[in-house]
Amino acid sequence: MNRLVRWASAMRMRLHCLLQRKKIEQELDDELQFHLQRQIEEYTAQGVSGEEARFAAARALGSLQQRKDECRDMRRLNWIDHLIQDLGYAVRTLRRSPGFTATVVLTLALGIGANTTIFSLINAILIRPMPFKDPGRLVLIWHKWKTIDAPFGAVSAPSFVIYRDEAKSFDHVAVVKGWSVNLTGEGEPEQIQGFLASAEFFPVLGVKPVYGRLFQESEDKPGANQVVVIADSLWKRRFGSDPNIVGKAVTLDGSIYRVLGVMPAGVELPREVEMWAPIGFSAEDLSERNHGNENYLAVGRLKKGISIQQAQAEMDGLTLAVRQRFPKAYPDASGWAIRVSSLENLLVGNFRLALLVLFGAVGFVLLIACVNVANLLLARATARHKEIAVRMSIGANRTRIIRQLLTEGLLLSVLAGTFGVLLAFSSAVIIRNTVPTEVTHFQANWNRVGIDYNVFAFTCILSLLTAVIFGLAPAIQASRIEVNGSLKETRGTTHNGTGRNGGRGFLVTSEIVLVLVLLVGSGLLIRSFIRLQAVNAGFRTQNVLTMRTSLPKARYGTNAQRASFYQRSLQQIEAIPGVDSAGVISQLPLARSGESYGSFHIQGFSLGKEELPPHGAYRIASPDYFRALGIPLIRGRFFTEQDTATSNPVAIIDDEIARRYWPNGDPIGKHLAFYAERDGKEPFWREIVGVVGHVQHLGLDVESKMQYYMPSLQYEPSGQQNMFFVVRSIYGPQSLIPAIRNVVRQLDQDVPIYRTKTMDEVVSDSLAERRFSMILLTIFAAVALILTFVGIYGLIAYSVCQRRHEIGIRIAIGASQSAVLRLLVGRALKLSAIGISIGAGLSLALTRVMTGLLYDVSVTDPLTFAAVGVLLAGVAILAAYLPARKACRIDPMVALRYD
Amino acid sequence: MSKPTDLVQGTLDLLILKILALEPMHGWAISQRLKQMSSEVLQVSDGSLYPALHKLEQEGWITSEWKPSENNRRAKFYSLTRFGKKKLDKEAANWSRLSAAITHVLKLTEA
Repeated sequence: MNRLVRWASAMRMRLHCLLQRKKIEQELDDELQFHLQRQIEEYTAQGVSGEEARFAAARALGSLQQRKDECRDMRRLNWIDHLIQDLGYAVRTLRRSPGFTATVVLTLALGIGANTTIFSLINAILIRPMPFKDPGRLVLIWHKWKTIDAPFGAVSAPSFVIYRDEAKSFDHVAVVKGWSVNLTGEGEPEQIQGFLASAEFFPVLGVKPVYGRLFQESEDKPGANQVVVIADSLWKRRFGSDPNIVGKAVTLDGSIYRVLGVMPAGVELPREVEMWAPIGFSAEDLSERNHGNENYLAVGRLKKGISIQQAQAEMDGLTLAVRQRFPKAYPDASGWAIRVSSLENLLVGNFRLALLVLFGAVGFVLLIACVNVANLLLARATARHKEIAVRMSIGANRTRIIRQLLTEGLLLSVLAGTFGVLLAFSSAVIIRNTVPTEVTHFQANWNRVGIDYNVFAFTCILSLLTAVIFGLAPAIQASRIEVNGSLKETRGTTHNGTGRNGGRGFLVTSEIVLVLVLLVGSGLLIRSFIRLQAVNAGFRTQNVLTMRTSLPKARYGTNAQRASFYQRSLQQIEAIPGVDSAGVISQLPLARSGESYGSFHIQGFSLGKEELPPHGAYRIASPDYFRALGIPLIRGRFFTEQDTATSNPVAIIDDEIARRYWPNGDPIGKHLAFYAERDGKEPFWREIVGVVGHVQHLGLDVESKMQYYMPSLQYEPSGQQNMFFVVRSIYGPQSLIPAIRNVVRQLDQDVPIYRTKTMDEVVSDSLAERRFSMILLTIFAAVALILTFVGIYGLIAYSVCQRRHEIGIRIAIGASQSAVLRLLVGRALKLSAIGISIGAGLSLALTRVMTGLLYDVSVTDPLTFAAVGVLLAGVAILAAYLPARKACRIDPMVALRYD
Repeated sequence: MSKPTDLVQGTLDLLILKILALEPMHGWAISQRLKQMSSEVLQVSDGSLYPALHKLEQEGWITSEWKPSENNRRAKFYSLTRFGKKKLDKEAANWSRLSAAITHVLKLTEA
C-alpha cells in the first residue's frame, strides 16, 4: 500500500516535471545559483577577496551544466529530453540533405511496402481464421479410389448416411452439391451459384443467419425443400437489403422457393455461392444402388478433442465394414477407402507455399534495401567525421552519439514505414482486384486482404527493426572516431579509407548474394511458365469465344427439349457472319468446370476377376464442338446432325483410349457401353465412330484421364442443363458477343449467358496462380536488382571520389585510362564474382523449397543459373563502369590540388 | 593527511535523511552541516549533493518548498516525508547492524 502511494507521488512528480519543464529548469538554476551565492558570501566572510571567492565557490561546485545534467538524470527525465533534442536535430539534418533523405526513404519504403503487401496476403489467407466456428475442427470426408487416383473424390448419398449415422468422431456430417439456378422475376434473369446442402450443413460450419432461420431436418425432404437461405451479397444486390425478405417467394428455375433467412457476409465458400437450399434426398437417392453415384462433397465437424488421425482411424475401420456390406459397389480391387482431411489446409492449398516463398523473397528485398541504406549512411558518416569529432570534443560521449545517429535512423524508418504502408495499401487493392476469382474463391478472407491492425503492427515492428539493422553499424562506426585524427583529417587523402571501404565492399557483396537468390527464384518460375505455355493443350485457342449457359429446369425438363434448344441456337449462331463453327460441350477444358468420370465396358474385352473396368472422363458434345475448338480428328468422323435419339448410338474416344485398348487395331466400328447408361443389366452399346486428340482438361500442368464423348442429341441422362457454347470465328471473336447473346435472347429470354471469355483468356486464367507468384517474384527480383545496381554504383562512385587524389597521381605518372578503368571495374567484378558464387550456393540450398511451384524445370536448372549469373555480372560491370568512366576524365592537375 | 575516505555507496543518502530529520534545510546549509557533523572526515563535494537531493525527492523520501532563507533570499528547503522517516529508520538500523558486524570482525582478527 505504502509502496503504491509512494509510486503514485513519484509518478505525479515525473509528470509535473514533464509538463512544467521550463519552471523546473528555472528552479534548478535558482537553486544552484543560491548555493553559489551563499558559498561566495561564506568565503568573503572568511576574508577571501571577491573575485577569488567567486572562483573558489565555482570550483567547489564544479561545472554548473554538468550538475544540472546529473540532477535531470536523477529525475530520469533526461532520455525524453535527449530524444526530443535528437529528433529536432535529426529533422534539421535530414532537411538539409533532401536528396539523401528521399533516396533512403524511397528505398526503404519499397522494401517495407513489399513486405507489408505480402504480409497482408499472409494475414488474410494463412493467419486470419476462416469465418466459421472453430475452423480447425472442419474436415472434408472423401473417397479414394485406386482406379481414379485423384484426391478428394466425392461421396454418394447412401454412403453419406452411413457416415452421418455411424461415425462417432464427428459432431455433424453434411453433404453439399453445387447448384446453379436461374433467378427470374424482377430484373434481368441471373444465374446464381449456390449449394444444395443437407440439413446438417450449417451446424457443421457453425454459422447463424442474421435474419430469419436456417432450414431444418423437416425441410430436408423431397417436396418440402422449396426453401432457400440467401447470402448477404445477393440480399443486397437483388433485394435491396429488404428487411422483410424472410417469407417472401423467389422464382428459381421457374419454381417458387420461400426465403428462410439471410446469412452474414463472408461465410460463402466458395465465395461465389449466394444461395443454399436443402438437398432433400429421396428414398431412391439413398438406396443401395446409388452407391456408385458419387456426386456430393461431404464435410464434417470433428468432436472436441478428436484429432484428424483419430477420425481417420475410425474411418479406416468403417472402410472395411462398408466394403464387406456392399462388396459390389466397393470391390476390394478398387482400393476404395474413406479419407479425412483438414478443410483449412485443403482450402489454403498451394497458396501457402507460394505466399511463404514470396514472403522470403520480400524479406530479401528489404535486406537489400537495408544494406543500401547502411552503405549510404556509412558514406555519410565518413563525410560527417568532423562534425561528430567536434561534438565529441565538446563533451558528447559515445552512447550519446550512437543514440543520436540511431534517432536519425529511426526517423528515416518511420517515414519509410509510412510511405510503405501507403504503397502496400494500394498494391493490396490491386492484387485483390486483379487476381481472377477462380483462383481465390476458396479463400474466405480474400476480400479482407488489406491493412488491418495485424498488418499495421507488423509494419511498425518491421520499420523499427530496419532502423536497427541499417542504423547500428554506421552508428557504431561513426562513434569509433578518433577525435584528434579526424579533426586534422582533410578530404582527398586515402589513409584509413580502405578499412571503411572494406566494410562497404562486404555489404555490396552480400547484396549480390541476396539478389542472385531472388533472380534464380524468379528465373525458375519464368522458365516454368514458358514451359507450361508451350504445352500442347490439344486444341487451338485463337479466335475462339466461349460462354456458359443454363437452361431453366421447368421449361427444359427433358433431354429432347434441351437438345433441341441447343440445336436451334447453334444453327442460328453458325449463320452469323464471321462465325466459322459453333458447338456446345458439357465441360470446357481448362475452365475449372469440373470433370465427370465414368467406367465403361468394351465389347469383346473380358475382365479378370479382380480387374476393374476402364475408367475415364466423359463429355456430351454437339457435332461441331470439335471443329469449333480445333480438336483434331485422328480417325473416323465427328458427330453429325444425323446422330439422333432414333439413330444408331455412337461415341467418340480420344487417342489415349485408342492406343491403350487397340494398340495395333482400329477402334472404329467397335462398341463400348457406359455404366451410367446401363439400363438394368443390359449394357447400352455405342459404336465408336471417331478418334480425336486427347485434351488437357484439368490444367496444362495436370495429366488428364482418358476421355470419351457422346452426342448431345443422343444422350438421355440429365446433364445438359449447363453447357458451354464454343464459337470459332474468322476474325476477332469479341465482336460476336452481342450477336450471339441476341440469338439466345430471341430464342428464350429467360436463358442467361454468363462467363463469356475467349479461349485464350480461359487458358490464361487457368495459369493465374502461377502467373500471380511469377509476376510478384519477378517484380521483387527486379526491384532488388535495381537496388543492387544503385548499391554498386554508389560504392564505386564513392571510392572514385575518395581516391581522386590517388587516381590523379596515377594518371599524372602515366597510367592509361583503361588501366584506371580496370582498377575500378575490377574491384566491382571481384566483389560480384564472390557474391555470385556464394549466391549460387545459397540458391541451390534455398530454391529447393520452390519445387512445388515449378513445372518441368529442375531447381538446379543450369540455364537459369547461367542466365542469372551473366545478367548480374553485366549489371555489376555497368554499375561500376559509369562512375569509373568519370574517374578517367580526372584532370591530374585538378585532382592533385583538390583538397 | 590521508586521503579523505570516499563515502560508502548509499551513505550520503542516509546522512542527508538524518540531517533533514532534525529540521528542513536548503542545499547549502545541508552541505555545511555535513562538513561540520562529520568533522571533515567525510568529504562530500558540493557537486554530488544536489543530484542526491533530486534523487531522494524523486523517490518521495523528501519534499521541497521555496521559502525565504536566513538572509531573506528565496531558497529551496528540503524536508523529510513520512516515507523518508521510515526509510531513515530502516537504513539507520541497517547501518548499525552492518557497522557492528564489521567492528566485530575487525576485533576478531586483531585478537
